[in-house]
Amino acid sequence: MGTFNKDYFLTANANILENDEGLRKVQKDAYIEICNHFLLKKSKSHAVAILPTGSGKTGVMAIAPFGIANGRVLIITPQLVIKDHVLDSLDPTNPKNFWLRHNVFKDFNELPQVVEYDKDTLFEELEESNIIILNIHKLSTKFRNSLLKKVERDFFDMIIIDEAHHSPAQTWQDALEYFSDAKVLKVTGTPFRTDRKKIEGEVVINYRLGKAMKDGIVKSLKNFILKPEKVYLTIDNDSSRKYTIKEIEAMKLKDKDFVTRSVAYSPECNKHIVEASIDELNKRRAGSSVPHKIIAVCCSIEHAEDVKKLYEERNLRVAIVHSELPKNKKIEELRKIESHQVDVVVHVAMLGEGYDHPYLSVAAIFRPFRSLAPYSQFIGRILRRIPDEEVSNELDNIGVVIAHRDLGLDELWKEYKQEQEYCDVLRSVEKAEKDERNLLKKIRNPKNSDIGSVIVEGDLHIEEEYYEYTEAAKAYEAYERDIEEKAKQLKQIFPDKSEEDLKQLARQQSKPTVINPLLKNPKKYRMLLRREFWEKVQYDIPATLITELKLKKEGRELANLPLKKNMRWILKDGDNAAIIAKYMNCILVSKYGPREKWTINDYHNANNELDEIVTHLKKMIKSILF
Amino acid sequence: MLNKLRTQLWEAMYLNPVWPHELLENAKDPEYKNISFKPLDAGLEVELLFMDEGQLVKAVYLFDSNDYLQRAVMYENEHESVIYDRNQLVTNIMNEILELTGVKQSNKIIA
Repeated sequence: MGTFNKDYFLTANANILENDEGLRKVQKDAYIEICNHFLLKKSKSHAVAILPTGSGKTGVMAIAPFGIANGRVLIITPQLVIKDHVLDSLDPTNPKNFWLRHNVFKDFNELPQVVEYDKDTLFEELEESNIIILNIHKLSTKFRNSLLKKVERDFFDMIIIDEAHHSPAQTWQDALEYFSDAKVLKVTGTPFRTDRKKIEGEVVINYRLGKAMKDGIVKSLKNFILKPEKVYLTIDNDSSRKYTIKEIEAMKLKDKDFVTRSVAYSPECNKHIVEASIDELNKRRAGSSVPHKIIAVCCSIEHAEDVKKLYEERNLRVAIVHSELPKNKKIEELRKIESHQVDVVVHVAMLGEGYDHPYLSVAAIFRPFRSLAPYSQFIGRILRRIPDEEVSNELDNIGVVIAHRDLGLDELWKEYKQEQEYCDVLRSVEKAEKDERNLLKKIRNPKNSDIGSVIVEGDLHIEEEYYEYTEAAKAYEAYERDIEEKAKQLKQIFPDKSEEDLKQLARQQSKPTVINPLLKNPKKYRMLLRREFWEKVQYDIPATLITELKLKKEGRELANLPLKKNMRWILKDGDNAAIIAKYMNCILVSKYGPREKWTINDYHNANNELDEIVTHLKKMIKSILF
Repeated sequence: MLNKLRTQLWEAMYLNPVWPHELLENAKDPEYKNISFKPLDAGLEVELLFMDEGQLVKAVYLFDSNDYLQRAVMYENEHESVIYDRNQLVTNIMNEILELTGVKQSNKIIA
């Protein structure tokens, strides 16, 4: 991250078009279309990129300015959760920032200067930044520190609007009018605004959800509707008379909302959804090390508390997120989700678009929806794909939606289903084309192996599995023969013991080679795991980095590390080794909470992340040293 | 690599990492507050309570009728951490083997 360069986006050597491993095809396609729009056509109209949740929208925003923006870029988000997500993905100090993670750049000092705009941001900071990120309310002219009151109209050359379907509101219009000469890119998951009108601008790319499923970019979806044989309702607290839903409809006793609301709040129906969602969660967790989770949506905070209890009764750990939660508590709950300290996330109109956690795989719907936007936003939460390197089996990337039949969600699901069908059609077309090509190849160039009688039949998959277990059983038989031998030898020492006892004695002497010997002492197991981890963080990692980067332990070069405001206290005192240790500690505590509350799972998860944190720290150190 | 995994597979299926009586040895440590054995329909449950960093931690070990450990769980700060799960271990090793041999992955669990 160097000093401010106005031409940064035109001169930076971003690896985009040749970047096959780091970027998805759709991201590169979107980039090409955006270039076409602004550079070839020199269009003044807004460019609209429609990309479904999980397909890499933030990545498109990250690469879009390169070669296009002739100056600063403003990214506007519609709500705070989205702003935090975007900021997190584009924060150069975050080890997982998009550019480094996806090989757009290799070195830390090639990254753009990024700042979040808030009331404390100095004008100098804005001037020296390439990308400024803010939430829409910071542009409102009613806001004393509105950005519109701080900068000139030509301050930005490009404006990127995230989740642009929110854009009809006055604040958005005021902002776009103020920066009217800027190039505007609107990114959204849906072509319709929240008021169901079309988003203004020219659609440069429309990547359908079905295509994203087919390309394996998002999870495939399965719907699971609970259909109890009969559902009865009572009306006006009169428990003496029960009605079926059909009766209520036929007699026009109550409207549809009454029925769906009643079903949503019914403890019996809620229990069904809880149980079905736990079954689906267990199916995914069995045979997989992926930390799958359930995400549940409820009608109200009280309702969410009730649902939370139902999951807790089944021994699941639950995080609850709603708008009335104090900020600290909310941060704590989100942290628990990120660090896999919960199994279920219950929310009330809170974790809509922008909340990004790929391990949410089971969507449990406890509330009715009437329109597609919030319904699809909720389902979008389980669409984000589990990274390939973490996948243990096919089920890992199949999301499931669970709801009660009488919540009236059929129509909304149908719209989703169309996308699934679109995906299936694409797959079958692709397969047919492939089959056709193979057939043509074989007809044109027949080989002996292509003609004649079939010699081998059978499913390789099953054969191989069978083979592995047979081999394991053979190894066990050999082991048992060895045990018999040992028992015979032991018989000479203990002539009074039975053969079975002696065999058992011999068995007790052999342990699996890769098992932790501390398993027999859980206290020591826990203590050692903890001690080894913190020794690694406090001593081994600082020592390795200091040696590798030829730093002096007592020096203070690292006091210049480009850290975020809220982490700069780390740099105030202490030598290089202490700064590294404090940095590591700070990153880990911010993710997993106070050390004294860590569980064994937390230690395992944190340990898996250490490499990534250290690699990024190394990049930051190199940026100030070389 | 493959041979190593195959060894791990049979060992995970047929060997025992810890026997119930080995857990009793912990009783000598004063930090262990209680160790109890409870017979189950098809096995044995051993519960160990101990103090660690001022916190009371519970560990539960489940053995089958042949005293082979199937699962061990630790409960800390009201959270559950699985420290051993035979089924999971076998499945993970099997998946690694299948991945290495290029065969489609399996989510079959060994009962």
